[in-house]
Formats: sequence, C-alpha cells, structure tokens
Amino acid sequence: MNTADTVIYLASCAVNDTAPDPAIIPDDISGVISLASRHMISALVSMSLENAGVSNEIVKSKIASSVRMTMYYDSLSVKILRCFEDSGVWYMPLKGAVLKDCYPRLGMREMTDRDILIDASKAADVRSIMEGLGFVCESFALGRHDIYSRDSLFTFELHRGLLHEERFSAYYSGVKGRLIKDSGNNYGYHFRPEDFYVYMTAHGYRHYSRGGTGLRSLTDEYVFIKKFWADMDIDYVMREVNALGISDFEKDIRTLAMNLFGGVKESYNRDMLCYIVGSGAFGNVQNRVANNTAKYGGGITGKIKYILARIFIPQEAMRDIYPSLGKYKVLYPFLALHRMIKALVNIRGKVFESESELLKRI
Amino acid sequence: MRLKDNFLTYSKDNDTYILPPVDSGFTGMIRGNETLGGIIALLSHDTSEEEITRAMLEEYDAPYETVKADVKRAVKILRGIGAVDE
Repeated sequence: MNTADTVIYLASCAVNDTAPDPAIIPDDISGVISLASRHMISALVSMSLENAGVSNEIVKSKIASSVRMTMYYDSLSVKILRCFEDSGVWYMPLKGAVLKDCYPRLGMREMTDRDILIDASKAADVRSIMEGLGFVCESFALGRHDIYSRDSLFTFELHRGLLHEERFSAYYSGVKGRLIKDSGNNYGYHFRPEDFYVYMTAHGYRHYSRGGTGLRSLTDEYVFIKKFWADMDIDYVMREVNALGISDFEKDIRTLAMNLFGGVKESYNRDMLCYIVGSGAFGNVQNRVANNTAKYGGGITGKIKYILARIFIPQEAMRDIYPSLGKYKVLYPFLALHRMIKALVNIRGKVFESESELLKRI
Repeated sequence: MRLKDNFLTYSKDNDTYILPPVDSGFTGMIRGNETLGGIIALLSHDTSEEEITRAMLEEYDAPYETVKADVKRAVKILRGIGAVDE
C-alpha cells in the first residue's frame, strides 16, 4: 500500500469505527501523519492508528489537539449562541460545526475555525456581543463574513449570507426561507438534511473548482450520507443540485466517498481521487492556476484573461482590501495597480512568482 | 467536593475528557475511560470519595477495594490540575 492508500484505509476504519489491520500499518508512520495533516484528517487517522495499537507521542498529540480544540470551540459556541438568544439575533451553525457530530468520536473532524450564519441586519449587535466575550474583530463589513478571533487560537467567521458567487448567489439570496427553526431555543435555525447536503455540495464544489479540496471533504461526504441519506428526499436533492449545475460533481464525489469508505464497488472518477489527494485540505496554487486558465478558455487567451482577472478583481473583493473604494469608485484602477505592486514586492510576491511559473507550464 | 464549573468535560462511550479553562496555567488534557466518565458525572454535585465509591459499586461488578482505589486515583489526578472545589 502506498502512503495515500494507507491514509484512506485508516480514515475508512475511523469513520466506520472499526479496528485497522496492524499488518497494514508501516513501521514509520511519519509519511502517513504528514499526508493526513495536509488533509486535516490527522486526528481521525491517529485514532485509527491508536486503535491498531500504535500509540506514540505524535499520535497522542494529534488526538489531544483536535479533542481540545473541539471542546473549546464547542464551549465558546455555546456562550456565543446564548448571547445571540439574549439579544434576539437569529443564527445557524454551518459546515464543520454540524458535520463534527456525524463522526463516530469527538475530535475526529478537525477545524481551523467555526462558521455561523447570522442575521445580517444585526451584524453591529453581533460585533458588540463578540467583543464583549473577549473576541477581537479582525474584519467587519468587508466581505461576506465578519471575522473574530480570541486568544490567538480561536476564529469565528460570522456569515451575513451564503455562497455569494454568481453561480449560487440567486439560489442562496433568500436562504432564511429554507431554514427550519430549532426546537428548544428562540433564534436558532438549521437546514433540513436535504438542504444541508445541497449546501455542503455547493460549498465543496466552490473549493474543488478553485484550488482543490482534500480528503476531509470525502470523509465529510461519507459520514453525512451514512447518517442521513436513507431518510432524505433524494428526488429533491437531485433537482436542487441540477438547478445549481453541480449534479455531475455531486454524483462523482458521492460515488467516490462511498467507494473509499462505504464498501461500495462501483466505478468512480479516478481523476477526481488523484486531484483530491494532490490538493490537500485547502487546495493549492497549481490547481487554482490550471482551473482558472481553463475557465477562461485555455491557451494564451485563457492565460491573459486569468492574469487580468487576478489584477482586476471584482469591486466587492477589492473593497474587502481597500474599504475607501466604497466611497470613491474612481480609485479602482489605482488600487488595482497598488495591489499588484504590493503583491510583487512583499511576501505575496512569492505566490505571484509561483503562479507565473505555473502559467508557463500550462 | 465537586468538579469546578469552569472545567470542560466530555463523556461518551469509552471516551472521557476533562479540560481546564483556556486561560488556566494547565495546558494539558485528562483523558480516561467510561469509569472516569462515571466519576466526573458524580462530581457534578457535592460529594465525597466514599459516596462516589458506593455509587460506582452499584454500576460496576468489582470489589470495593478496587473501586475505592480507582476513585482515589481519579480524584488525586483531578486535584492535581486544580479541577476540584473542596
């Protein structure tokens, strides 16, 4: 078994809560842990290793770190949501905050932050709440989500809306109408499983089609399907993913996840698996350059259009970086130039450097 | 004695975890099994080592001395990280 196969095997054992065959585990697990870490499934893989009798300091620390973060995040989330309740702010935890509970054990689902959809009209109240709880506001009204951090460890992204990209924006513009009121509180909402799955797929597609997405997206897919699929209205799901233009992606990622983790033996998209294994949890620049060049038609025209799109980013995104653009739209070309020069001379220049190298190779 | 309110606990199946508040001096985590989970559940209200031992004996088929020693060891660890209000 190569390293990727071993990671997938151990992940499969973890999400199915079964003990791995110790004979399959290599003597030196550093490569396995390293690849699993790139995909943000090192705690999950470590739990599997521990289950097979491997219990060294790296394995212990990967598990402890993820369990600790999950418990602290859960505790902070409870405090935040209690304050939202007291202040009459409607809210809905998103993504990992929900998916973590689909995994068999605490800490299996690693996260770098927590996402919550909030009542956009109460964003200023939310800021006061968060600052009152000791959070520092890192970003406010500069994009689709406000960012708060605490103790240099915890980050909460409070979303004013979902998936603002052109492809999905109309579908998610009135998202509150799709939400179900929680029982047991006054202002909490949740998606029904079908809508959560559609959102998870659209969000996954967004990352996949840009810089790529890692194995964690496949374990997420599998644990969610395992928990909810049998009782879901599949016709509704298929209609919705079709309306969003992501039905092929949905079928491919579901089939792949079920093959890897669910014991299903159907033909699956091997290119997708290679792409995911090569991407890591947060994608990479190589994928982003290749995907965007292709999006703009490929060839020299695609490259030129991609370069121009990288320099002249959408007004909304530029406003995230230069808030003054909100008042003085005429500044746009100058700010685009400023951004490009700044990128070329500071650390982000390295990204541009690698992007230009990659463009030469495509 | 009882477990301090600001300590975080989690117990499900055979996984039990106890965490100090994020701003405390102790940066580790206590990890244990179902038995520790039972002990911390009993420590959620004022109790004593003897009361915990007797409650555990109702749950587990084990000799008194064994359970008493387990409880003593668990409470000592919890005291060691400042998790117990006496």
